[in-house]
Amino acid sequence: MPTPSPTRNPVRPLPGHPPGPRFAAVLLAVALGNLATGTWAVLHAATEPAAAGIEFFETRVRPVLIESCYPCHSAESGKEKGGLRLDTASAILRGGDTGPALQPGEPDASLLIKAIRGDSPDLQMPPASRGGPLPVEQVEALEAWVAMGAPDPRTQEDAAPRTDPLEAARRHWAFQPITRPEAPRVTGSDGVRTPVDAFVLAKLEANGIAPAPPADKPTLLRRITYDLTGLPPTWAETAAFLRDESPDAYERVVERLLASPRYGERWGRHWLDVARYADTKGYVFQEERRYAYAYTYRDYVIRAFNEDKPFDRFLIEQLAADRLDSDGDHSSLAALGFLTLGRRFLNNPHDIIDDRIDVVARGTLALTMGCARCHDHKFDPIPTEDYYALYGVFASSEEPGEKPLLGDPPDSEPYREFLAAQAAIEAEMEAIAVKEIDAFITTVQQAREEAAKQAETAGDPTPKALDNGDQERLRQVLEAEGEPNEQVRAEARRILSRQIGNATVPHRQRLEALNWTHPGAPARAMAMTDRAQPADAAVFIRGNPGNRGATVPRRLPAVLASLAPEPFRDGSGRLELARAIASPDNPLTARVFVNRVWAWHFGRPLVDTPSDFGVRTPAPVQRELLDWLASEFTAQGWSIKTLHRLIVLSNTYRQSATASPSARAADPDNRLLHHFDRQRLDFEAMRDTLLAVAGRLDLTMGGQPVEIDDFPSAPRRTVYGFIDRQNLPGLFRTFDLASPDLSSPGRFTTTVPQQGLFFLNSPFVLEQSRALAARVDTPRTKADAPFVQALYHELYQREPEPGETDLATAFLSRATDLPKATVHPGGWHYGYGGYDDATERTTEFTPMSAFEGRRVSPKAGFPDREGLGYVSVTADGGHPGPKPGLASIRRWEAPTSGMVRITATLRHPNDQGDGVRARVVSNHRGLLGEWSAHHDSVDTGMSELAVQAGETLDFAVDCRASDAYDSFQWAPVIEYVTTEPEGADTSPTVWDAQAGFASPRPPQPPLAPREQLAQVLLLANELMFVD
Amino acid sequence: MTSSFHKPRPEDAFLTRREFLSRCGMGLGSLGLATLLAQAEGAISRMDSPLAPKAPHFPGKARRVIHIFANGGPSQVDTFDPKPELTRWHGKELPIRLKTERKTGTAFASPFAFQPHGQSGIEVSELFPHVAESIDDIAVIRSMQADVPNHEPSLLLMNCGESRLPRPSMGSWITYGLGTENQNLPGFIAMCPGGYPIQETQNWQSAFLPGIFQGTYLDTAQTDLEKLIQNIRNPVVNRATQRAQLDLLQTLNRRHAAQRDADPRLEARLQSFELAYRMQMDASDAFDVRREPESVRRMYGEGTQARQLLIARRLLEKGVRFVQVWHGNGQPWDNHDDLEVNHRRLARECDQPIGALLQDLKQRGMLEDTLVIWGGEFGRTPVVELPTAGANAGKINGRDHNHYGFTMWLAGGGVKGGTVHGATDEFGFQAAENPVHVHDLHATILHLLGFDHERLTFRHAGRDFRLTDVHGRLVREILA
Repeated sequence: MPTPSPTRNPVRPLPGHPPGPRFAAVLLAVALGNLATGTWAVLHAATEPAAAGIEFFETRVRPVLIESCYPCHSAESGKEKGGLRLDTASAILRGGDTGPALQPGEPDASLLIKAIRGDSPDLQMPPASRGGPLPVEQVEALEAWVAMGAPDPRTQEDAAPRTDPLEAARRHWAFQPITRPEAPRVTGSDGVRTPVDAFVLAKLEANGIAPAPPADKPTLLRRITYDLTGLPPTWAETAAFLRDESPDAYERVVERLLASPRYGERWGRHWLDVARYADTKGYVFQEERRYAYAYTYRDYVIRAFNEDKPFDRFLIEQLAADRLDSDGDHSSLAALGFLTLGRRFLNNPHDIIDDRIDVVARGTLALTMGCARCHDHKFDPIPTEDYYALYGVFASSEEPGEKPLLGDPPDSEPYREFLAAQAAIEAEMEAIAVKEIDAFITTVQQAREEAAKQAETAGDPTPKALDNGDQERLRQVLEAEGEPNEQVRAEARRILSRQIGNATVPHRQRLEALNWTHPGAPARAMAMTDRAQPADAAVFIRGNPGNRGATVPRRLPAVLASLAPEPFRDGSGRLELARAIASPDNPLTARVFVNRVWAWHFGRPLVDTPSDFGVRTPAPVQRELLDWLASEFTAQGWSIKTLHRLIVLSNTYRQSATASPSARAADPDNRLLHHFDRQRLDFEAMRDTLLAVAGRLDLTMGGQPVEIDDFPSAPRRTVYGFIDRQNLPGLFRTFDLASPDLSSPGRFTTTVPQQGLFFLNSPFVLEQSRALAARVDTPRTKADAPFVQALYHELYQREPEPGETDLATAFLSRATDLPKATVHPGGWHYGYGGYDDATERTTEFTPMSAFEGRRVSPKAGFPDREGLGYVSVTADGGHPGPKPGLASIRRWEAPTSGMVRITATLRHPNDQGDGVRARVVSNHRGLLGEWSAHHDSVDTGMSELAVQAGETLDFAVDCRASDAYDSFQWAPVIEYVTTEPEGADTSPTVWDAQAGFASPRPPQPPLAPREQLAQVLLLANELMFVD
Repeated sequence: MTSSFHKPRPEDAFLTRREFLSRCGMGLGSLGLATLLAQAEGAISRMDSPLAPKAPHFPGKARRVIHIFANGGPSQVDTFDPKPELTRWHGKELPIRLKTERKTGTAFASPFAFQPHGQSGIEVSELFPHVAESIDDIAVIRSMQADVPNHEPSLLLMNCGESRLPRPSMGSWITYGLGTENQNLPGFIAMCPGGYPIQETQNWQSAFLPGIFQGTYLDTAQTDLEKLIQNIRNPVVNRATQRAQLDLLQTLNRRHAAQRDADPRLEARLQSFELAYRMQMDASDAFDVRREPESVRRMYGEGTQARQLLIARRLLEKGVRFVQVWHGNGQPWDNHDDLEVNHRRLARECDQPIGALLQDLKQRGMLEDTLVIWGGEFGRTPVVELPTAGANAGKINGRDHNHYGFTMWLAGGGVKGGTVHGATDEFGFQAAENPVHVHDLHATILHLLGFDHERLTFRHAGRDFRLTDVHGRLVREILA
């Protein structure tokens, strides 16, 4: 039975939805070989038989018909040339004056095909007046379509002239009022825990599918804990839950999790995907990029979820908090970040407004308004006027110059320091301005005198205009005032405003940066207010602001007009818009949000396109369930936590992740919800889990974002990480963070080797591996078996199976037996020291650590005043110490044994002084070479040199009699020709002194066997997937 | 409700080839089947792995692309578009005036000499003698046009086909459409020594396409592999130990999978670790130009441009799909003043390596299926730029931005060599014959790779987006 329910709700194979949602589009970026074919193949078994043909019609045939044939042969155009219409399945078969237009399956016998081929001179379509013959590929497509039997879905389109698109759209399921369907009666009524189950079971029973049994308790606990908090349960929580045999044990867990502040951090982040949250503006040229206060929106969202702020209120605040009666509490102003924290497009106002329309329309209503910026929506009932009706709303709103404070700034020491720091920078700026103004006035006065002198010489006593326009402007004021008084200075300031502005760019940047660097900086809202003079906008014809059409009143999109038919009158209209969106009568808002919530619980939405409920989006298989949830949601006062309870307390949610073979065969895509779909941890849950199990997670909430891309990264929850939308760090992209540029309907789930590299090699994961191993390393775990057991408790909240303990302990003993890891820190070190002729060794090597750009010297302050002079190493050379025997030393430590080749040229560029002496000295084999250079260069390469792991080669340069003019260049490149044992090490085979010039990382010891094991268990699928 | 109205997309691709045929009720041999199949097959493999190699709409001549971006805007009248008339008008007001970004003055003759090269006799200036040696493999488009004379929108237009809004870059579209040949390396790589060009990573953004299609940025001023590819090396675990770790990991993963239903995601993650393990070796090799024979290294010459173009060739050879090579951070070719000195310096840095790349590709038989693209985001004015306070004050020896007409050239994969297409007016100001808009260039590039630019689409926000938006016209004249 390929289709469980072909008549009622055909189960379609991931139908027309954008590949946005992770739910369906699990993109596997690795070559799976034959595996994938077999497993993915199951997904299409439920396809409607003719789906492929219909798909072909839609993609290849319908566009051609619309474009090239409908103008003369359709109800839409009102033309039926030759008595022929081609816009419905029956009309095309009926044909026109010369008979049926096609014979299904027989292209050669079909008039339509003959006509477009131009077989006969008196029947050639389209006619030259309509653009002439079709491109070959279009002809081929139509031939192929007829050959496959001319599958044609246009059966309902027979209704003669097309009705008003708006009228037609009102019939679309998503635009109809939300009803409250009765929960269906089902036979297995003991399977019904919440009404959700009744809807699900009814569909399953109708298709003869049994739901999966409940998940076991540890699985359920792990599922619900991740779902509601984004973190794993602890071993203690699992143990307590297992012990608790009371009937409401699970319910109490759900309540505990919903009450946890971790809940808001998890669910707030979901909403931030919709809100295209980022901490920067994108590309804005020289302007400061960072949003100082984006975080206040993020914290507002987290708080709103934790407080279970009613969703209608949540929406209204995000659109119009400034217009609500705040009763002295300004905290909700932060909500307006929803509108204001998008990309800034070099401050192009039209694009900024477009971004705001998009986030509101798609984010809250799942309406794709963006298309209507340039033309009426091709499919949905969204005319261009609707777009500009909203455009007017946002164009009538502005961001206040000074962002409002969120609460009063505390009268604290840090805040006073903040104000003082601000004042100090402002004083610096003023000093610059005063200097510029003084200089300019002096210049003009001199120029005036000069001109007067020349005039006098020429015998013309009248004052002369100056050539330079700016100077002349000031001269006139000077003449009028007679002396450089305040008026003159004010004029000079005006004239110089741009120049002063340029000269103080860094100051203004510092001033701005204080807002996020200074601990006393107060929080502000990225607010919005109504303009004093709100105004309707004109349509930009084809989106071109230079080509204005009719003015459109600010109002709701027509398809929602019944909610508020009149144009907006109150200020910009944002509040009216917000109220209409958050109205229980709005057919979209509750449906759209409930669908998103469902997706965030189940990993997949009921409606496949969470941000597009337009007419091309078919009603979901679980339409009654969606509507019931939506109506219940509004009936329960838009409480999100109540909605969670309806869902997570259901049996549907509690099912096992394992499907029965028969259920899988009947509904391989699980559209009927006969088991729980396994989910992979997303980026935030993954990173938070690694920190949590390592015992390092810092649960501080809120505040300025922290860097999490650098190492060491702040051990805060990932939701507090700094997100730069302009240059999103590779780590975020690698793990499928939602694009912060656009409201995201859902995340992709990709699997790429870069993720593997992160888990295997990143300092972050290695750090957590060490921390985890240290955490479970207690007196009780001296032996390997209890150590393994402790790891399993912490990571997987279960006992290891005997086989697993064996594998792990075998790994530990083998790892201990492995040849001592050959990892040496390796690489470059910098210092100074002497040389002993007798032993041929470097003496008194003293490391240098003061890095300043491309130079390292013994201590801060260069040159050294206490006897070390200019001794230093630079990326490509350096300078010796002040006396012979005090050498600048670049030391290379061999990470592994092998044969190396050294390429290097010593250059002493200056023709003055007496040149330098260079040596290469090994700590194993003494002096390997000695050269000198003065105003010339010398090749110091060595073709074959055997080195041992840990051996050091010192590239030492000292002066001859004098160290004057002794800057030198010497940047060796050391290449391994062979290593021993072959490929034993992952360290580089090429060591380039210049490229590798950097402050050395503190040497890290090799990962110990227990740490290696901890890392393996951190990487395992058991940790990364939730059943 | 009818089925949706869109082009095939990855998630539609659950049909195997055989099923596609049987469902469509067709046998092999029907008319037009070749194109249909290519489409269907292309779509099918997409689901297995978005980066796995896939077939385009029809067999393309080019299989990989290198886009050498002379960012800042090289001057056409000083490089590939000789204008003797401009010399005659030097110092005089030109009869045509076009609005320029900054104030411009009289005609400014090219300080560089042109001469014909190759069988085709196409004239190239003295700035590019090495490139000129391959002129018979090159199609020069002298009638390029962009929309505005500003860097930011023009860079985005050239790279993403849209001047302002976040849209996927050409490299993202191409890797989305074709996948890549080597799963151990990124499919789309953008190189820029010393930092980012203007507009930064937006130049290789994937926008609403999955993040894996975004260009991987490499700072080619770095020679240290660890700075080139994140996490490519483990500082504290050696290879033998890592192998032992992976063996244990995979054993545990298989036990875990065996207790569950077949789930391709579990297997995929398991495989990704093996790929990552191998990548550590492959990537070191790809970026190590020292592995090239001395003769090849000498051919490319010294310097950063030489090194990054040689790395680019190694990457292309190893199966990377799209490599974009920028001249440097910021906008090096943006010579508002001292044009002669600066253009000479810039060309000296890149001419030999680009010439070497063309010959090297040819010697390896790679030029026939590698598309080489050279150009900036726009060109420069034939008239001199007038001084602006705070910019080029005191110097009247540079050129302003020019989007009305400029030159780009293509070589290799499917391009008709030794061709000149289009022309600017007699002074080189404005495209006069056969203008080629950036959208047209994109359509042509996609065609060379086997795509109908109108059918390479992605559904986003209710609409099927494409690189060429609603524009694009194939430039057939430069096709081989």
